[in-house]
Amino acid sequence: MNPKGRPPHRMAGHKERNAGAKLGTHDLIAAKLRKLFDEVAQQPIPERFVELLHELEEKDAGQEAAKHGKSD
Amino acid sequence: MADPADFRQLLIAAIPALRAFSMSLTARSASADDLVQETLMKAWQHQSSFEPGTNLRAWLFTILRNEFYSQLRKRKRETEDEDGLLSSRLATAAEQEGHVELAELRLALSKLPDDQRDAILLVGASGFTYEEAAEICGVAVGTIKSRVNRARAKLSALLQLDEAAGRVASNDEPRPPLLGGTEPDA
Repeated sequence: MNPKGRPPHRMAGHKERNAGAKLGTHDLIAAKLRKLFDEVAQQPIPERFVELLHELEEKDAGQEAAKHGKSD
Repeated sequence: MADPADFRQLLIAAIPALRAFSMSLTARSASADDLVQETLMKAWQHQSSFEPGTNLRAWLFTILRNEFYSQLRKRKRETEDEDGLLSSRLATAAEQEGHVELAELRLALSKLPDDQRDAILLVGASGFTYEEAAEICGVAVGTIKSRVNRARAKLSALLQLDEAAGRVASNDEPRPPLLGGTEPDA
């Protein structure tokens, strides 16, 4: 399977926004909420998380290797 | 079970959305990132229970939300059942927000009941469908829909949007100030 090739997430809010031509209260709220969300989501991923996951993966790989004996 | 390297990449890709949700729940950047870290570690530990091809984002948000509320419950017990702990924290974060429009929104969100805030954040901000939000919160779809509706109604009253909505219907008209006269340069 190719996880990166999956279609982007379907967004209920977006669908609703396209349904009505006029800019209503719902759209205003949706736009504000998206802004609040994007403010954080658009920041670069902190390095600590990338490192953490890398460490977790290495630790698991090390344990696997130990389990099977270190035969290359 | 996914290949560990693939799984790691999927988790990394989900981090921005997790941080945004965590930040809107905890309202403190330090604890928001601690919560994300906790979520990533739990997800890694339980990766064998994740089925490749199913909704990883919903799975991760479920872990994060559960972790958040279990921490909050613990903290409430320790501080002698202080009600409104979360609301007051969210309100404080609103005061510290530099952006007027977002400060208003944070303050309004802090006034919603927890379940309604969760629902509107998942559907309105994080872009989940009602079905996914229902799965994340462990409730029926109808329950999520009514929570979102109630949250919208309260937010629009708190932000006084009903009036504003009519006036900005045409994009060319100048926007009415939502706060008493302090309209930021757009």
